Amino acid sequence: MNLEKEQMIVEKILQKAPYAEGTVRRQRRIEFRIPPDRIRDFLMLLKENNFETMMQITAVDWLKDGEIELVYQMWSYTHAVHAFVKTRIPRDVDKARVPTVRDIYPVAETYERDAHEFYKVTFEGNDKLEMPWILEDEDKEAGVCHRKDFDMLGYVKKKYKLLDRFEEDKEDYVI
Amino acid sequence: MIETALKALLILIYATFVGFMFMGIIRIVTARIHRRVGPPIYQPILDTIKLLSKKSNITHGLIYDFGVIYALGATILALMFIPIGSIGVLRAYGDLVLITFLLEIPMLGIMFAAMSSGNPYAGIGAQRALLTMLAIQVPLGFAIVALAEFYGTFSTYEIVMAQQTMGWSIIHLPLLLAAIAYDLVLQAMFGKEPFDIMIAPGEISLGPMVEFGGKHMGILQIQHAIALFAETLFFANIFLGGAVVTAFSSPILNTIASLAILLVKQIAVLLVATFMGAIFPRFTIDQAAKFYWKWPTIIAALGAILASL
Amino acid sequence: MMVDWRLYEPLINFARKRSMWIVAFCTGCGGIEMPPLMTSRYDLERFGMMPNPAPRMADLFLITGYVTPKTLKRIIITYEMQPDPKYVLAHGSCPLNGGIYWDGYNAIKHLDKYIPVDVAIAGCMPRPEAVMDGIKKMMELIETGKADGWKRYKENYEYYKKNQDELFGEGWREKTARRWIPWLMNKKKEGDRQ
Repeated sequence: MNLEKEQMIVEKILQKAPYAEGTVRRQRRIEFRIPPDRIRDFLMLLKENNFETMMQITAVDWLKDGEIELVYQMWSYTHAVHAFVKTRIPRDVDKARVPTVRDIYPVAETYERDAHEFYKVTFEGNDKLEMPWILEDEDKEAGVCHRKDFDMLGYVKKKYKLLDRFEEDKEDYVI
Repeated sequence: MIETALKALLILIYATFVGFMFMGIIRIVTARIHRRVGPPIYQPILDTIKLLSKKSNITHGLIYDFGVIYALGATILALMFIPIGSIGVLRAYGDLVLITFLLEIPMLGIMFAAMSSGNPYAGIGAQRALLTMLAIQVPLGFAIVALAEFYGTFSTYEIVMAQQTMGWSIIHLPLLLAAIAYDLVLQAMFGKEPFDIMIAPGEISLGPMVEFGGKHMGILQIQHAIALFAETLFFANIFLGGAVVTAFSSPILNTIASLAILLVKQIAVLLVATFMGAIFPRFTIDQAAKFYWKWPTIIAALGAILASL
Repeated sequence: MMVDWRLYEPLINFARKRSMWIVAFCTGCGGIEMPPLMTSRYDLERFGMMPNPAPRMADLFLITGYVTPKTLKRIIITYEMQPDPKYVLAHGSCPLNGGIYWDGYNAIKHLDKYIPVDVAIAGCMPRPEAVMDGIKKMMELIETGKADGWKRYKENYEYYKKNQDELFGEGWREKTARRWIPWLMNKKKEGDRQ
């Protein structure tokens, strides 16, 4: 298995960004970890190195560490390589703030709206965070989010009033 | 007096019934071209009965109801002017320009009713339909002028009589060109592809007819049936030599024979239109207008110039 | 000269069952089961059913698959736009009891509380043969005069309205219509400034 191309890309980027750590996971997939305040410089650096598109911004909720991990997934057409860029930010709603990358990659505005609505991460500089996306008004007022400390099954029972026969501490449900 | 009224009523009932059969023929022939089974031939009659028996009607005011009746009335009046074989109620007064004018008024009536309902889709559909009507006027005018020049008269009845001795119109070259141009115009008047931009299902939700439901739509279906009959009858009369049979001795047998010959010619025109409609996709409105002002105009103008030599 | 239209009920019911026009509104996963029904192999047009884009002319509403609250608001508005008599056919197990989304926050569990359903077809998605069986049952219901979902909606409107308001909140029609206005107004101001 020839991983030379990926090694070269990782080394070239790590030369210009000494605050980052990078590895090669397998063929066509590389991974970087950066501190959260250097996101904009790093993504600008990636854009100059032929990573043309941003595919997705994924948020992962680590309940025990008390952090939310944001994964920016970048794809390069010229090298045909998929890059993960991982950062970790604190979990409380008023401390989860990240600068926006909307002017570097214009498509990031939609993904930031997505992460804001479901994980309550605030992206500073993006003024369209409150635009209607997926959740309806009555869900937003009740505070629906995909964080692990939100009681989703209880909310469903309250909203639809139909799941009274299922208990929450069972592992297998037989309907 | 009573006899004229009875003749008019019989013509009307015959035209409605045969018009519904024509609509059924269009649907089943299109289905067979697509290699499916298709609905039975009497399907449009069932559609109309269902639409007329809806229990609640939505109306948007006076013009909305009036436009539909206006369209139906204009079509029935146009039918009375066209000679059918040897019977005809008002055939002495029916000249080419009057019948063409009366066959275009129903579209205007539907536009009134559609635009007064306030639906934006109806507004867009009405604009496009009016633009299509504007586009087809030019080749239509040249074709009618070619006919009038060749036969020297504007009266439909005399044209039909002249064809009994001189043979069908399309044998002569200038009238063949006029017939080709008129056939292309007929596609837009029927509302079939490639020129059905006014009744575009799926694109603007059936255009002007988006707000009609229940009894209004039932009346519009009847109007479409009579309009199909009238337009094919007009084409068969002026270009394919309408039938005036005098071989039998009793007038009833004469009438039945001429109606049968006319029916065969009308079905031929309808099948040509259906085959063209099943193959082509839809033109947009500016492509349709540009098409009509280029080739059919040139063909019809050539026919008109050749007819006057 | 008033004709007693009830004498003609068999003919009118025959016409109603042989020419149902479908509202072209394909919800959920079952939207992909509609084209096989309409095309050459399982031809639906021989029963006279045609898809029709305008709700004012259509009688049959096919709910194919799961229904989210966002879609349910639009379905209710479209259903009330249709003239009587109108019928609803529900495909799949999601309108019956939630299906595979039984514990999801975004799928309606029991559709009969919000819209009257006449015939329900089981399956996840039902095959075209199963849908034809359901249509045959619907035609039998129309013929005997028992397809009265629209009558139930009119008579029990308070029950349906109570369920809808509990799910969406009071005054949901005005709120849905006005939801996008601040954002569109903003865009217009930006466009004018540029």
